[in-house]
Amino acid sequence: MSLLEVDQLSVDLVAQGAPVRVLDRVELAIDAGQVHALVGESGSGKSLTALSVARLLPDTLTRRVAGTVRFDGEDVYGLDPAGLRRLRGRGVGYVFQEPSTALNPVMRIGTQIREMLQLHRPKEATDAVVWRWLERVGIPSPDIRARQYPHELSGGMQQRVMLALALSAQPRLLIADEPTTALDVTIQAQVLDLIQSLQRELGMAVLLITHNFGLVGEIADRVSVMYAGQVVERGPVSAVLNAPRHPYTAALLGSVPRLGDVRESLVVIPGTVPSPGHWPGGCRFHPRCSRATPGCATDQPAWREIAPESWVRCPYPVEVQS
Amino acid sequence: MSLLLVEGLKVHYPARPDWRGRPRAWVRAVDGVGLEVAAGETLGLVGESGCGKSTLGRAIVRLETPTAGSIRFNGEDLAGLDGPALRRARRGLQMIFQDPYGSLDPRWTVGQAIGEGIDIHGLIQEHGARRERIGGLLQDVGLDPAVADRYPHEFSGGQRQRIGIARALAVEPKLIVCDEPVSALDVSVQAQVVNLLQSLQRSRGLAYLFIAHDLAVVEHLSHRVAVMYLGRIMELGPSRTVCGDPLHPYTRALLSAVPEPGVRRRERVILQGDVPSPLQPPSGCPFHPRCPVAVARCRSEVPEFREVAPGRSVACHEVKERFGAS
Ligand SMILES: Nc1ncnc2c1ncn2[C@@H]1O[C@H](COP(=O)(O)OP(=O)(O)OP(=O)(O)O)[C@@H](O)[C@H]1O
Ligand SMILES: Nc1ncnc2c1ncn2[C@@H]1O[C@H](COP(=O)(O)OP(=O)(O)OP(=O)(O)O)[C@@H](O)[C@H]1O
Ligand SMILES: [Mg+2]
Ligand SMILES: [Mg+2]
Repeated sequence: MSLLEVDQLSVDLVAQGAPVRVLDRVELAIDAGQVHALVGESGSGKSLTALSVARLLPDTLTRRVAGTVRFDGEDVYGLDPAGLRRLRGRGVGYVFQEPSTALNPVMRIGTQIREMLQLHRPKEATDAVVWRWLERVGIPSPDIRARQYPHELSGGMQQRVMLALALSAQPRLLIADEPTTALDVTIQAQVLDLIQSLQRELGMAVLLITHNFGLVGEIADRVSVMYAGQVVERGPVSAVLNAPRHPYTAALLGSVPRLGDVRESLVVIPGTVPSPGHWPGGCRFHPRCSRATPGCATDQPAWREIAPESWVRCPYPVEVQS
Repeated sequence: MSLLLVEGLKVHYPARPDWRGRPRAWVRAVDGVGLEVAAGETLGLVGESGCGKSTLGRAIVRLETPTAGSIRFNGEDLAGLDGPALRRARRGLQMIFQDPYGSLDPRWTVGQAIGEGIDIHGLIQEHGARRERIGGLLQDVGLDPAVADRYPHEFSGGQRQRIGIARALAVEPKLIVCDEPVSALDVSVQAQVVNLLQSLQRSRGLAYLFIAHDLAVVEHLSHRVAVMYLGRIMELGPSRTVCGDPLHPYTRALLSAVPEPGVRRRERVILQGDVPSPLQPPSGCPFHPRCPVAVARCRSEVPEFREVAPGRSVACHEVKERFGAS
């Protein structure tokens, strides 16, 4: 059994008074100790998937949740308030995409970490432990930094404070939504080493949302690719990056800039991701797909296993070249 | 004449107030920076987290008051101005912020946020034309014009970032300080935005100060690149040569840490020693505690920022001049 199992998860939100489906039959499975990357273009539903998994979408926004989310065998949407408190913190640690939404602007960052420890690791709620966590995420002079407010820190520091906050509870699953976007490569390397060492020491699993394929290749075991509220491909990291099967994954990988690249313009996938409420019929990617057939406009592709561990939502997957 | 000329710029913040509220230490976020941006040029600015990039950007658009130095934009020094004089002088100077959520007012629709600048500068009076302009800007950044009536919280992180970009473009500036404008974006939209910035540069002669930590993007987009460390510029030169043949040991370390797509768990040269703190900066060359080639002199003497090859400047005692050599 996986630590996290998401089965046919569909979510409707209320936007401007009307319900709109934002996630559609999302599938996900993460084993203990595994790093699972979630990728896909902006607006494809990655953050909403992660928020739904941790049951962090506000009730006022949520109209309907169908399907199941199981964490350690327990139905997340069946938990009582006490169960939810246990889930968040020690069960699931969450690093939000934008620091400004997650850090309390009027509380010193050291106090914020200390409160987290008080709640989930009370024996460790000391200044020394707080400083140690700040140090581990690469923040120098932690004793002075601990006394500062979020706005006195740089963007990348705020991001790392959020990571220290989530990690200090030593969760079994870390959900990290773009945790390194504001970080330069050297700090990024340090933060990744930290995540990897905790993963080994504590058997922590990671759901890593990122658009950085370099990062995916370096630390993930598996990858899921999202498009328009659905997972369209899943597989071992080497298979997906080196031989993508869904035309969308292939197109996405084709637009990655590399050092030493001298192309005048970068390759883009024509068109934009349709937003919720405007998803086309049939395969959602068909209007932008170079391999689309007339059938793609009408038939919903099934989610199927085309090779061991490799799943794809496309009837005409890209052939594997040998 | 350069469009932007920054000289001796310093921004210091008070830290660790004592019981009277007097600072016991100063964060030297920007500590004597000089740089120049020509019309139609892109200057990339890279450096580790906390080295002062955002502070420098914010000081240039005068969201931060400089402690010392001058910022000449179009020949006028912004450092000493405030009020209406500053607002007038600042026309043509825009900023795209690192944290899109923090920079958008949650009570304003996207259309209102983008339209604000158009109204302040009285660029378009007629209602239909204004709406059309906002729709066009949204389309440019890969968003549906219909989203103009929606609020920031209804968007994904990357979409909010693009709203910020559309807002900066709305007033037809001459120079945009772009603070990590594409790092929150996925590769495809990133490519789209990068291509848009480049085509606007070609058609309108826009200049950018492009802050990013992704060297591949910076190399692709910038004519020249400046490498910053603890509030100072360590190396500056044409981006192809700086990325292809870095001179400063710090630039070399930064470049070796760039991960590449594909599965290749390659050894990285992780910089030795602790990340230094701007609260307790090292003596001499700020990079010396982590530098693989540091000599005794580096501990005591601040290296001068000097031109070592045509168009290339470095602050390092150990880099030899290369004039005439090949
Ligand atoms: N509260 C909301 N009401 C209506 N639509 C929403 C709401 N929140 C998000 N959306 C829409 O749902 C889609 C998916 O959003 P989500 O934040 O999950 O994207 P994402 O994959 O995380 O993208 P990014 O990489 O840009 O962060 C987007 O098109 C977004 O506009
Ligand atoms: N308002 C402030 N008060 C006190 N210190 C500040 C303030 N703003 C920034 N600093 C400090 O100035 C230094 C430089 O911060 P800055 O945000 O410019 O870094 P940066 O290079 O943009 O980093 P990042 O890549 O993480 O965004 C940091 O040490 C930061 O803590
Ligand atoms: Mg997101
Ligand atoms: Mg910054």
